[in-house]
Amino acid sequence: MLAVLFVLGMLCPLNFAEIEIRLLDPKIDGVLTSKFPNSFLLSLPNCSLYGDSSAELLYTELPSNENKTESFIVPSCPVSLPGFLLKNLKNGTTYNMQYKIAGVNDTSANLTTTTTNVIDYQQIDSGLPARSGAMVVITVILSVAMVALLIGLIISFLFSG
Amino acid sequence: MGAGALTCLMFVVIALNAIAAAAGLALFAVAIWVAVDGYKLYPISGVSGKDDIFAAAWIAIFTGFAFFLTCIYGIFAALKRSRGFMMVYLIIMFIIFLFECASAITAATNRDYLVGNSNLVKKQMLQYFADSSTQGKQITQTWNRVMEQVECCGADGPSDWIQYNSTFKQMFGSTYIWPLSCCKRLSTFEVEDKEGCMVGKASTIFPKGCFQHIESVLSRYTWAVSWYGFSVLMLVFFTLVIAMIYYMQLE
Repeated sequence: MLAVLFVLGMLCPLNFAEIEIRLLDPKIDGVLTSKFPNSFLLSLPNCSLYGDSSAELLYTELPSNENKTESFIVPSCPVSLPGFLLKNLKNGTTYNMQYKIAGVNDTSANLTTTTTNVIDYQQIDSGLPARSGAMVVITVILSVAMVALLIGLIISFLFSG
Repeated sequence: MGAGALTCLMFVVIALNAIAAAAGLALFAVAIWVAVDGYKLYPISGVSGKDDIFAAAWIAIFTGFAFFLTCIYGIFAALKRSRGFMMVYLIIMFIIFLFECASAITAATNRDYLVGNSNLVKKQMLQYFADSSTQGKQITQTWNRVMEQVECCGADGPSDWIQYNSTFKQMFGSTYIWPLSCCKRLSTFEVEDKEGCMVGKASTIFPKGCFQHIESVLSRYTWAVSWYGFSVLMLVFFTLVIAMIYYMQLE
């Protein structure tokens, strides 16, 4: 029994040592979005545990399996930025990401997401959407009025005197 | 028709002409307001080549003033009880009527092309914002002013800059996701939180789109020219019908 408790006690620090990694949620974290065509907005490692330590974000581009690293300093509490912006990615590509704190060897789980695709602006159809009711009314009534006046003028010139 | 009835008809013609002269002068003034473009949104229609709202306003300036002058002449012609003068009056009024009809119809139709939905304005923004050509500079200036003053971002929202490719993204995409004009500013004009805005922190960026403002301004211009022009034309139509009856009763 005591041995089981000791084993559990030894396992606990390993659980706390896992850094949280996730994409920011617009509803919870107060950002517009976290998936961009060329970047991701990721949650920062906990500022109270890892503030001011240097950290690395290891990211792998699938399917080419290219490994890259971004080094940064974890900001100390209170944090002004909502998250970490990982830039210079390719659009429509899947990436594997993982945090690692230098020196302490704490890591996070792997996060796999895909960047969004962009639509070319030339594809936007900027033709006439629909004719509004106002335009139809004005055109019809004015055309009828023009014809009526013309007929009236002809009648008044022909049938006078 | 008896002399009394003819005199009565003459007074009706004179009264209607006086009202039409005033209405024509007001049309002249309103069309000047549209042509002056106080909201400075002309580049959006000019660059797209669909600036007929402003062309219609120019026509309305001339027809409004012409209505004013011709209706005063009409008062004089009615008082003179002269057939020749009334015929000239009727012909000139009819010609001006045709031009004003063209102006009203053109303004209403062109508005549908420009702001029927946000596609044309959005495509133009994505293509020309941050472009270095003359049109690009005009569009960039116009959009920066609109985004800062109306406190909006993009055509339908900041997501326009994310969903679509754009000249801005090609030039500045490695640093900025959207222009800094989308960010909230202090009263000193400095950006309140530049780092937060660049990342998309919701409290530092304007979430709504600018299309609603652009649409309401261009609609306002169009209604000034086309609906008010339409109402002046209806009044003039009625005046001309009475004037034709008066003309037929003159000997």
